[in-house]
Amino acid sequence: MATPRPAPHPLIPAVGAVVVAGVLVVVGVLHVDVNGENPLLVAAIGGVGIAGLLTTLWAVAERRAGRVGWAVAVLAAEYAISVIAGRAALDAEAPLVGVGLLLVAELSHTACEWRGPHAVDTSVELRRWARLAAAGVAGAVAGGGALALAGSVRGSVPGLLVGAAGVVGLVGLAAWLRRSTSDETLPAA
Amino acid sequence: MSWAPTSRVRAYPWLVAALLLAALAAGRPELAAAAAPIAAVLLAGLLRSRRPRLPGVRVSVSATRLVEGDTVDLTLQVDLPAETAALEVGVLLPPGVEVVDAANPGVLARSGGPRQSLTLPLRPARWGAYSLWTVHLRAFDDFRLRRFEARVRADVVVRVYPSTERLRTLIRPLRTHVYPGSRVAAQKGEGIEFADLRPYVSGDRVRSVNWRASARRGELWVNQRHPERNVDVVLLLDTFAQAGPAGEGTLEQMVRGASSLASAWLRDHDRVGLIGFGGTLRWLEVGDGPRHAYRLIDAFLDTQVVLSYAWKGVDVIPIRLLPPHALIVGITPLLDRRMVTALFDLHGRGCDVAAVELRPDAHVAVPSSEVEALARRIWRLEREAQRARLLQGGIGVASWTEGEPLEPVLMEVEGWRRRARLRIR
Repeated sequence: MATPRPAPHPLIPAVGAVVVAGVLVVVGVLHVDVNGENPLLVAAIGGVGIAGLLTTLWAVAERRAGRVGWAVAVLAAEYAISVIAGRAALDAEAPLVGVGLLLVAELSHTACEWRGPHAVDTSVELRRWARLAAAGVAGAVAGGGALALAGSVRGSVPGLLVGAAGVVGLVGLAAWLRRSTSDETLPAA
Repeated sequence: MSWAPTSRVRAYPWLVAALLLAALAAGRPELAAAAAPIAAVLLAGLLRSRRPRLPGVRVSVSATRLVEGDTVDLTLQVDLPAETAALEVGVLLPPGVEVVDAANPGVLARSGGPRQSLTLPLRPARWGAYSLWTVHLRAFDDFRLRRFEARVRADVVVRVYPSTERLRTLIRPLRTHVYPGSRVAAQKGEGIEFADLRPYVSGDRVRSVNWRASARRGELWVNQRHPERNVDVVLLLDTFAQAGPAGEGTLEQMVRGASSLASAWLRDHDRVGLIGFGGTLRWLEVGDGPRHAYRLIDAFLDTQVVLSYAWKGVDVIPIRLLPPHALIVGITPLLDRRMVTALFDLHGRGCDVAAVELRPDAHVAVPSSEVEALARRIWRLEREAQRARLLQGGIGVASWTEGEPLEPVLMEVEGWRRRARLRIR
């Protein structure tokens, strides 16, 4: 009989998710380039960030995977507000923020999906995290490249078209995935 | 295998789309760059995601018949497809069955080999027939974006027999059967127990001669003995009504008692039959031997209360189920008048009848008001009156409280029958 190797306790990814979310909140606040001229904006961004942090905490504490998306969305909103309202220059650390958002999402999901020490095989989990890291780094590199390209051709029509097509495609993909599930089978052993 | 998106897939596309839209609207490419890692994971995951083939599953159990309290090993042999890195295997257990010191669901990793087995020690909480176990299989793609599931039905039936009490005292029937057994018959013949003396007649065996009596009387006298015979017993189970919840009520107690009685009589080479007398009539003709013991206990497992308002008397019982000279033992909580009437009818037809009353008091709620307390007192008095009626009618009855041994109850019935010197017409 195969003996599955026990998976680590869900507290580790849960704490990891909250810590990374906290770092994202701090980064969002620090990115505001107002030199103390608009403390209200800093407070607003910090408030949104803390809301994201609390949502993350709520999701992992109650182990509701459905709330993780909202938590990451609020954290992303905090970053978006800090970029749009509080900073004039191009933020070169944006891909790293993206990696942070991915990390929060994956760690929170891992914590929520934990169903006991023997319900997950550690080696399989490690391979998944390696793939995630590879995809995340590739995405960050691609994002960095896009950022460098966008710095030179900012506001170009092809860029806008690509972005709009991406949005439409993603919304279509999300709708298709939400609707599509296949029939369940019940064969005899 | 069927598939469904996980919560990641429900969230990631919207998140990326929102960031892209914000990037377009505000003219800030940083937001698109921030969305890039999640978009990359989504893209890579969906491109790599393939629906795995259904794993082959064979289900076996270490035993199909066990006694209450025993554990049975359920072994799942799973053939993992090459595209499945890990497979969660869980068994949807019927109510009342628990897993003992094992993970359910467990996980099988492909790194452990293409064919693996998972053993779950299971313990049924109570007697009964447990069937239709469903195996739930679940796998995820590389990025846990899609969940693949299948349910495999395993037609395994495990019969759990109630633990029986070892009885040394049983109710003695008034008459025995003609076949050899271990009960001392009232008739005279070849046996061990001394019965009487009679004068020698031609053909008597020399070893039967009582030399002391012969010397005293001056002629040959021989010993007469009681032969050992078996008896026929019919257990009449009252399935009209039960008190208490399923699995804990008087039905449970009745099955335990009937199992103990049947085992004890069968052990002594007697013949035992069963009649489930209630909303539906179920029966098993008298028989003996280990095979019949299994048939009887299987019939006990299927015993259930079927609610019916139709009047049922003993005339619905086929006559062949009541062999002449059989002892009929009614096991009843005395909750339904039809059973009491049936016992009287059987006794009136010349059958040897005894009864074991199952006390339902433990399953009746504690009275919370004066009216309820009064109602309970009246109910108790009615039950006592019914018991008294049975005793006055010549039917030995004793009350059996759940959790207490059955043997003293049988001794009480047997003592009453001996005292009453009951005679069958």
